[in-house]
Amino acid sequence: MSFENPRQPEGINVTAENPLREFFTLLLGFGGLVLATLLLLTWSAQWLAQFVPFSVEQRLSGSVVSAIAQPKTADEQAREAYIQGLAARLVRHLDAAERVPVVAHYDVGATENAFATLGGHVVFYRGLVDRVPHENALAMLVAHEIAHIQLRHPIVANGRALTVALALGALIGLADNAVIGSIANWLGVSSIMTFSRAQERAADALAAELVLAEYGHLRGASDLFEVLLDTHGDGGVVGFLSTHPGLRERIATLEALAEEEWEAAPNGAIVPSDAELTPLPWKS
Amino acid sequence: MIELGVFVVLLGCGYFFGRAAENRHFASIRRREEELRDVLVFNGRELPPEAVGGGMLVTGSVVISVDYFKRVLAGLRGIFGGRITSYESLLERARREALLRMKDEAARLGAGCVVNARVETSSISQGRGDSIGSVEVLAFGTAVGLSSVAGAATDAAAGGA
Repeated sequence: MSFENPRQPEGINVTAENPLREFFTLLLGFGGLVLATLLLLTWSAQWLAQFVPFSVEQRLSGSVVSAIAQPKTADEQAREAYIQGLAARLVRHLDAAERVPVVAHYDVGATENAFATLGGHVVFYRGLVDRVPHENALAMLVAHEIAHIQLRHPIVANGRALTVALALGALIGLADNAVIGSIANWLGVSSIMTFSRAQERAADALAAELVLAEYGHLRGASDLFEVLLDTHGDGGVVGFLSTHPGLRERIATLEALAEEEWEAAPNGAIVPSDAELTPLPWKS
Repeated sequence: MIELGVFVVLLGCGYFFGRAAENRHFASIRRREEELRDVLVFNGRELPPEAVGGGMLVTGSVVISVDYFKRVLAGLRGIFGGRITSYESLLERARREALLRMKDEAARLGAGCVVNARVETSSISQGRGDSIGSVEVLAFGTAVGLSSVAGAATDAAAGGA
């Protein structure tokens, strides 16, 4: 019997293929699967959320309200009352039977932002309110947030976020590898807690209706977007604006709407460009 | 986004450094395997006819860390199934390195072959979520002198097994 160690050829146990190719194939497959599942769940959650009674939404919003409560000076209280009054005036133009109650809050923070959340609460930050030039633009802002509430967008966004979070949690729990869980997480995180562009457009359209009903014209409404454009630029915006359609697009839509309204109006109607703008008490 | 950036950087580091280290290691393994071709390794218990003297336990052990890229690739593979090629090359390196170290020790003792050679693999540290952090491969066997190898057996026999 002879004892020897013949040379082993290379490549029996190790493949020569570049691992990047395998990586991208698997990543695309996995990413596609996760995204498709998330999309399906998102759609289902969005559809179901509209059936959640508003009273349930109000109960859920308890923590939101306590977070907003803060001491205010007399001036700030007056400003909050003014915004609440404006909101009440705008809400009146909605069908009383379908109207969802809106609670407006004024936050003294410097953030240039405003948002609508669960339970009909809308929050306007001093940072943004300070920059709005006149009541018509402020009305557009308030009406936009009211529109989100009327269209039940917060509960839809929260329902979607919760569903996505649960789905991701399940996926991360199932994945036997933490890294895979992280990949799934990053894929889903972007869709959490934001209103979609379609929702923003719908809110803009309803807001324009409310402003038109209140003032009889839309002049000055697009100034809100000019302010935002000046503050954040057209895109790459954070927070409340992150998923909003481009601001230039929104200005154009609003101006086209104003134009249409003017053309449809009977002779003698107020020409949008001549319509009077209502000043804000703290600007005068 | 920051997390995603960190992920991509770690992945890039894992891929480029891991791949460079692997290529270097394989080149070194091939070179040293040629150098130590004279030391024969068998997993049987029977001794070659030219065996002389007593036996001595020789071991070779190596620990290799899994790079981030391999870990992610293995994780993705864990979903779809199939060959985890990223770990195959890792274990191939570890196994050959451990055997080389064992042969190196045998050669240092003047032995011409190692019989009853065994290889054991274990995961010695775990990454997040039970992913493999690093592997140890231990090779061990009985070094025996061969009459054909000059100066064989004396050192090995002196040590005992």
